[in-house]
Amino acid sequence: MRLGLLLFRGLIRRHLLRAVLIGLCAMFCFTGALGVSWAGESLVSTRQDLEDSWGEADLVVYTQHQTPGDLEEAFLGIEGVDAVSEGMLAEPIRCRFQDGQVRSVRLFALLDHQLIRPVVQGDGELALSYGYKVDAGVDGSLVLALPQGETVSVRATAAMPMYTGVYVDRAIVSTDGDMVDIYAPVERVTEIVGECYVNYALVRLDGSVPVEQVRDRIAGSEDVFVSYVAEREPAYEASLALEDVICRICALFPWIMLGVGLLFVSIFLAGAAGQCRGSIGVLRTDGAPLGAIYLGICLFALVSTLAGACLAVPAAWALAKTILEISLENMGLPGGTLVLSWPWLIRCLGGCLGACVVATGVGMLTVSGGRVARIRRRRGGRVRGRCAAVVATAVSTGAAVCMSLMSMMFMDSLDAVRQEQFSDRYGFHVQVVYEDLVPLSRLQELREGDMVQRCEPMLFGTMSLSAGDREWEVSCVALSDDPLLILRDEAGQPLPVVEDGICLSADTAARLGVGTGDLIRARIRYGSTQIRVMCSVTGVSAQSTAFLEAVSLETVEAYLDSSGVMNSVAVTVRPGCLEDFRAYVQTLPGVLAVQTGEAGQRRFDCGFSGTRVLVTTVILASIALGTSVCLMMCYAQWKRELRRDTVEHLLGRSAWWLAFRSALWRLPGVALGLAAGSFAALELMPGMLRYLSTDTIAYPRVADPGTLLTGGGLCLLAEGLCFGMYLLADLRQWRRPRG
Amino acid sequence: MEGLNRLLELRGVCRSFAGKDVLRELDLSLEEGQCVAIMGRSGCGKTTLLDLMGGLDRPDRGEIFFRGSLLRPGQLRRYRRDHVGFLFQDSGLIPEFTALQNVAAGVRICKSGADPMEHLALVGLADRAGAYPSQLSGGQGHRVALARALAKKPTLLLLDEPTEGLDRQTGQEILDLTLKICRERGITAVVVTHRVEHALQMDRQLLLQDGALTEGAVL
Ligand SMILES: Nc1ncnc2c1ncn2[C@@H]1O[C@H](COP(=O)(O)OP(=O)(O)O)[C@@H](O)[C@H]1O
Ligand SMILES: [Mg+2]
Repeated sequence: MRLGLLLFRGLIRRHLLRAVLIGLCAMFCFTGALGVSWAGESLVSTRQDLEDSWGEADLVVYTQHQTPGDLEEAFLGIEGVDAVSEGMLAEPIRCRFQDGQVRSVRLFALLDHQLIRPVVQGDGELALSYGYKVDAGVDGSLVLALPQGETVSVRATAAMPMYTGVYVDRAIVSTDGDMVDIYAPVERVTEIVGECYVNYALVRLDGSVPVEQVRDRIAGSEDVFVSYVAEREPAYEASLALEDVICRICALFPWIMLGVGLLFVSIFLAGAAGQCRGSIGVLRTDGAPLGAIYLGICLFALVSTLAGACLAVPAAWALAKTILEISLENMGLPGGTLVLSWPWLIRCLGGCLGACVVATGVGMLTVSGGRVARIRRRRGGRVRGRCAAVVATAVSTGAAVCMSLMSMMFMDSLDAVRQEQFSDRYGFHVQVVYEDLVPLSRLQELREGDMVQRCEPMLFGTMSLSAGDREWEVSCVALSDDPLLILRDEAGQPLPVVEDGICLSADTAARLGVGTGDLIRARIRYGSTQIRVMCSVTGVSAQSTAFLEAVSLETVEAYLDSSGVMNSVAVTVRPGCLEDFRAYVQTLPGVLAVQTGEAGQRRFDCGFSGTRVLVTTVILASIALGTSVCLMMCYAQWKRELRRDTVEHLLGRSAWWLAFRSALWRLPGVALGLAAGSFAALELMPGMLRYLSTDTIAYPRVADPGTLLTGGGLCLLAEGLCFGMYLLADLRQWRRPRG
Repeated sequence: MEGLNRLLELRGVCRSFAGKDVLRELDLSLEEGQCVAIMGRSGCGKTTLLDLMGGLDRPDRGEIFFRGSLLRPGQLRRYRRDHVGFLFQDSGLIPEFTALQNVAAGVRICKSGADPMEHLALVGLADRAGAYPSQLSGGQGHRVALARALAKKPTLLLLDEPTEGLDRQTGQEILDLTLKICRERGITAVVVTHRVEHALQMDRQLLLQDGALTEGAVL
């Protein structure tokens, strides 16, 4: 015991630099692991809080205007309904914003807060629904002029569920429209709108009756006219799809950091233990028990690792805070307090302890028993040293290449999603959304002024699809036969929209278990109108986001009573006319929203760029870590070679030849690592994408040779630079005249 | 019985490395209090023999008896701790410890109860107690190592070329000091040396050649 302490004190004194390095490594990696997982934990909990505040509603119902109390009375009578919260979702009013744009504003109020308690941050009566804050381009308060001329300022943000934001005319049009939702008390909404009614209800079920049955009964309610019923889940998930990615990365990254940290600490420790092999030999020669020696080494490892871990706590706090704030701002979510939960703390402690145990284990392995005579005579073959160096180079190069390639491929995938969302799919510049169904003749007024190149009517609605005994609720769009909204198959070819045909998204096709050529039943709803058609699947689109099915306008029109209607128009404008066209359309009656592709992209990009920052960090960190681990692992070998090479140089060998030979020895390791790393990345990628994909974003597999080359090249460059530094040091050493 | 003062006995000891026989069927017995010199060409297995006698290594075949009882593999550590002191050509100090701590560590391991400072004084290095091995000269290092070995109060002292790398005079001083103390305390000493004059100072001379010992011969 005393001997162990003595050894520990001696080690600390003599190998202080190594102890500091171990501490720094531990600090670095624990900071990463702790910080990222803390941020992830807090993100998840923030989200949980939001969901809690959004209530425990199972169904969302839109109805025609009713007197307060009607909905509660009508729905509470239905078997299986536990509670009902009535709300008021005012018809959109067109307001001029401080940036001069006219946007639709929907006022939202709840009569009672039984099922929803929106989290409101800031002050004032009016609260802007999250997500719009960034888009409206305002930092502080939002000032808008109501149609009556009154000017109001909105200084608060409400964390509102998507289901007050996505549905336009009871159909999911877009999550990226330029519509703004404002939450306010009932009195205030009534004052602005001029009347008090309810047209919106949240329903909680008691679980005694299947959801579908309750949904059908509510839809067929006799006392009130129900225009739309949906389950809550799919609606709000969409908005958090990118946050999900961050949460998932936050869940995975700490383990990688921990692994890398372990590798680092183990290497330094093994180095330290290797250096004191001589002392250990002496102690064992004298008959010191192995336990005492282990104790000394373990204390050395433990104290330096723990010191690093302790220092990591404040750094991790700062990192977690930063990640959390960036992510939440990108998502437009309120909140931002770091939470401490017991399970997380226990996991952290467990990880920390596990890391220490493994590190000390490595330390112990390096000083493990065996015959003392062999320890005393240090005989290490040069070939073994070289093999170890090759393996070490291969392992660290492989790890760096694998991690950076995977991150870069994910980046490609993310870019593909973004590309699809805004360039491939939308062949138009502006989408005009009407409040209600309007006749096709209104296309004419859009063409006025010669600003429009092309415009195509679209009819958005919701649709229940059934094939066999499977059923699935989706949003659907009816398109003309050469549409501007293009759905593409996996090969990137546009899918045809033909009469009595339907293009399904891959997700929906999988859920229904159908493929191209199969027949499915579709029940399409536009407000109060329902259409039942049999369609054959004409193609399956490889969409990654916002799953949307397409049928042809002709199919729908054949069944609509008033044929020739639309509720949205896709427009391409002549160059330079975008702003004028937008201003013009904003003045037309019945227009609900004018969404430019750019605005939509900006909204999506917020969440997108946050994710990108995180992924880029992973790439750079992995390259840096990989190369430094590689260098550390090769350091001892390098020193040994340097000694031998120096002698050879003194004997007349050219310094350049020696440097070349020394570099040549790295090559097999680098090549091996490169091959293994690329192979592992390609093999692991599909699983990784599956892990990161959510219900609303399916990350496609993009294998771009350019990415592979860049990733590998970057790692090689980093490694080449480091090794180059070693080589330069070598050359300098040999060139130095000897005295 | 004559075995009463027989300290160590090697019977038919074999040791080979990578198929090369270093020691072949070697027999040797050491009397208590004897000072023995072992000579032999470089690489003939002298260090290997010392390793076996000191319990640092195990023979491939053959037996080693200490005071009449067989040394089993599980007992080697305790044997080293309680009975053997070592002095190697590379002095064998712990660089992490000061001179005094080096001696104290030896005392602590074998619990001999000796006073480390007293032993440093014995080798004339009381004033260098706080110095680290890297701050000591070669001869001083050897003397600290000797103090460390003696402080263990060993029964058997094994010296592997203790004067190697030292100048003639320093080497002679260290050897003289060692022999003096060994004779005073009745310690059995085995000294590997290349110098005939050193070997002749001992009670007994052995020559290791082709894996076997020849009594009374010098190189
Ligand atoms: N651990 C070992 N592995 C392989 N060969 C060894 C080992 N230890 C000693 N040898 C070999 O055994 C022979 C005797 O070594 P050693 O006892 O050190 O000789 P000496 O001390 O007489 O110079 C040498 O040829 C040496 O190479
Ligand atoms: Mg030798």
